[in-house]
Amino acid sequence: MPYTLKPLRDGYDTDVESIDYLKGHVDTGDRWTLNFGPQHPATHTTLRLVLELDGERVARCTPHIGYLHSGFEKLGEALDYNQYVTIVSRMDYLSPIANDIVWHHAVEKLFGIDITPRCKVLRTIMFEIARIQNHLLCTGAAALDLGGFTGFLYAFNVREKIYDIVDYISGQRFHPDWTRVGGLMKDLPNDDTFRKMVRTLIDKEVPQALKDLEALVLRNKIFIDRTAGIGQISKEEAIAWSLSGPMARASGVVRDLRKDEPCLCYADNWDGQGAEAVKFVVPVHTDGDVYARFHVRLEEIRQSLKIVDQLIDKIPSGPVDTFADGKFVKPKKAEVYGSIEGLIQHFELVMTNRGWKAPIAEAYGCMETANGELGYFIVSDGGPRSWRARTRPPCFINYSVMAKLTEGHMLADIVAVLGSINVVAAELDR
Amino acid sequence: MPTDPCILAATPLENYFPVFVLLMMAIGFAFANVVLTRFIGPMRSGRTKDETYESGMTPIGTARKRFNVRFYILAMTFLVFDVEVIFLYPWATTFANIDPSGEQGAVFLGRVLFFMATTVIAYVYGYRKGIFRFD
Amino acid sequence: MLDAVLDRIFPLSPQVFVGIITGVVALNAIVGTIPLLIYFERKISAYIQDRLGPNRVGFDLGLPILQKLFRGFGFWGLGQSAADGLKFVLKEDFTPRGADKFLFSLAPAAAVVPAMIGWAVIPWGGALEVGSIVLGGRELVAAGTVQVMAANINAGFMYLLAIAALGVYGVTLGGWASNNKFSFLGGLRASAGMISYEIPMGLSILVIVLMAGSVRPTSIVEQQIGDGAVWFILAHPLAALLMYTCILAECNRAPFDNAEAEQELVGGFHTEYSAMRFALFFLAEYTHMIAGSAFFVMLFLGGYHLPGVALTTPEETGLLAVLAKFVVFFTKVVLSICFMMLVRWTIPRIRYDQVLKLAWQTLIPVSMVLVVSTSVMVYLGRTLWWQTAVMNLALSLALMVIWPYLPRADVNRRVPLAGSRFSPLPGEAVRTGVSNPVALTDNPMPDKNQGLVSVH
Repeated sequence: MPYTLKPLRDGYDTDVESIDYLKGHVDTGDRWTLNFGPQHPATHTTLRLVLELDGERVARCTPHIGYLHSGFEKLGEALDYNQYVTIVSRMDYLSPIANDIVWHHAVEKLFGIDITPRCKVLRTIMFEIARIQNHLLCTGAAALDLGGFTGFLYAFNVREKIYDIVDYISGQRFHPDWTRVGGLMKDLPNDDTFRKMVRTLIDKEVPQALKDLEALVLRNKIFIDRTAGIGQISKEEAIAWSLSGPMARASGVVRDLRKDEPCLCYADNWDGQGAEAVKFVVPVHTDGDVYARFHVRLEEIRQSLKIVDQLIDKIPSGPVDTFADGKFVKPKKAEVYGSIEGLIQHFELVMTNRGWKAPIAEAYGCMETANGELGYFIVSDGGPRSWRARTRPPCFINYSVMAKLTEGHMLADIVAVLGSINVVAAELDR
Repeated sequence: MPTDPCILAATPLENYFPVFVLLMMAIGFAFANVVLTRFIGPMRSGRTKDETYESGMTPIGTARKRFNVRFYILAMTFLVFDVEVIFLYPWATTFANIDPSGEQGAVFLGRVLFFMATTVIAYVYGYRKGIFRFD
Repeated sequence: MLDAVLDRIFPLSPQVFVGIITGVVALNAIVGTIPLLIYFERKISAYIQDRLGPNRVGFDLGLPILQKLFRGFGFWGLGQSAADGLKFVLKEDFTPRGADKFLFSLAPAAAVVPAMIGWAVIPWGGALEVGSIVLGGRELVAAGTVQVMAANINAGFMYLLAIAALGVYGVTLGGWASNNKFSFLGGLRASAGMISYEIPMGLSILVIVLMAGSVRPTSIVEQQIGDGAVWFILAHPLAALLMYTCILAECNRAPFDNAEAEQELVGGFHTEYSAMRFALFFLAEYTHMIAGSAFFVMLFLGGYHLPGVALTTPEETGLLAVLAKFVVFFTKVVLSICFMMLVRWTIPRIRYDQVLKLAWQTLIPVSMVLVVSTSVMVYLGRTLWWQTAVMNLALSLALMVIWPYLPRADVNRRVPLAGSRFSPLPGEAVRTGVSNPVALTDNPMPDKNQGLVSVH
């Protein structure tokens, strides 16, 4: 075993219920301590903020996490590299398919597998659609959190269409568990149908939703008054707090892993024959407030549409699964039933005491998901499953800045800031 | 015996009688509902259930403590303006009915403009004091 | 003896007689309309949001025999509101520990009573000619021409304003009595908001009073009818806009629904309320909407008048005319409420301090300027409708031009606060670490180990 874990210090009681919030604070005599969450309509899932209120002003904001802790990382030590994708799907459930892709990106980095061009294109398309899916919810919820329910549903309608596409390619609407080591769960049922569905999505449905959403809120005086200047964070601070994704880019940090550490179709020469990387622009805003984040997200949807548009008409033919040495993917059914090698290979992969012979190594694979840098750090001891599968969730890092963004603002602004961080508690608490 | 056959008609308040009837009906409706629902619905209680709602956690501290409201001055400013509005109503009713363009009209207008100017002074004072900033 | 008493009471004045009948009928009509309005609200929001809205709940009450009879016909979901009402009655009436029990029960009543008597001065149907009613040789009701309204008070507007101001008590009491911080904040927000918007409302009504020279509701409506007269919304568009905004705020409707902002305060002042007591708050809100809309219709939209229909002019005093006028009036009210719903489902909520800022820094100065300009217009004798309309528009234009140059505070700034880690007072030592060691104190719950106690 590469590492040993130390137990928690003795006498260190982590029971948050027993913390006396009123102690040790500057008590001006007229402050309230208020639980905001976990059961609250605005904390999209189960987050808890303990607020110290001076009038309606938030003097102190203490985020508590862990109300949705489900032991996801520990499960990564019990499930093999393919099975764990089902857990990963459930982390950032706003765009599950992106988690699948990043997880297997990390696993393939560990194994040193280069996937086929067709797989790369399909993964890139779905990765961008997942980004659209996530941003649509977040931008819609920005309106919802400020009391405009309609904008939320306009954005949500299109997510339904995206679910249809995910359903078509993977058989599941919500948790697709679509990727496998070195390939995909299965090839597209039909290229043309898939292309038609995606075309309708990117040519008609998403632009229409964007138009509606922008008409409703983007230039709405009430919306601007409530978001501009709220939750501001400067570029230097954003870097210091290691923010990523739209949070960082709204503050002027020019960082996008699709450009900085390219993989899939974001890298040049992705098909081995000198294909160019997909062209897109990284939108950056300098205000660093809630409105800027909203803007950046809207613009990123547009860029994602562009990327999908470049790829959707030239999905290369060929296999989706890579057969580097025939050890990573399950063979086809015909092979399993028809040849002894296929049968053995299938057996090796399916039996719980067999499986991969992974290299004894560590690997960190990360990609730019909708919320920021999502990474998986895998420590392998050579077995069929990771010895440790650590997640670097963008929400967790971004959420750490919550207190900084909200203190000194009003109670109503907490909701706006929370929405702009786009915290997904399942990913945050894992 | 009064000569007037109807006690209600004897006073200009007669038109308030339907308001009184309505008031009684509304009070009856409200209290009937409040009382009725106590008897119809189920009644259970428990230690945790009886707790006030604070996002599903045990409330920290109490809501019955001193609290920085920040707009008590606003309430006083409201009084200034509300009383002003009330004073303006009789004036407005009269002003339109006298000959406004006559000499009396000028006096009427001038007086009320002066009255409103005093309120404007109060407003400007409040603004300079920062009571309309609400933070 | 009995004769003597009866002699003193009868004959009733026809106005009181008709007033009581109108009041009772209108009260029932309004309470009966509210489920329908809730249904409208759901349907309208559904159509705005590309949904279907309620379309399943019919009137079969879950009984198999009725289900067979209706063959699954849903009545377009009309039964939804009835089912909701039934649910309210059957739900548990919950009072949290630590609540002030008396005030907690009083608050919904205090909210609903002013709402239910506020519209008493609305002239629903204009004038009506009544004959005398004689029973057993005694004249019960004298003959005469009366106004079809609950209370024909000469100070009608003052009454309306006074009753509208009472509405804040229920909300504030409910917020305070709950012993819940969210409720209390909601109650505070409601009281601050409602008192602030009373002033521009009063001032914009004053504009109309200046034009009409009366505070009697019937004469306001009559002044909007006839040759050369137009609805006051055309003569005073700016006042109408101010008034409508204030009505939205007074009814606690979006975008001013800070008192019950779901995303911030969960339920606001009615967080702890359930069952019928919650329903009373709900009822009060919708009744306020009806009363507010009726008020607006009366002031600015010509009341019961429909241009081109002779039946809806004040000269007609027959029963048929009254019915027609009532229908016209109520249709206008419903349309106005539908517009409120349209507003609610379109725009986001204004933040609480911005609501107050809008009232004190925009609406009050503007309405004061409007009142002064109108009184000058009256003084100059320029009271034709197009003259005042031009004045209103010119004023709006002028305000739009000078608005950017007026001083204004930055509302979205961070306010330094003592003890804050990231927004500290200037010169204050900033503590970013955990200031108190974790779990050195006892649990704040004194009786932690006591189990659940169930009472019957």
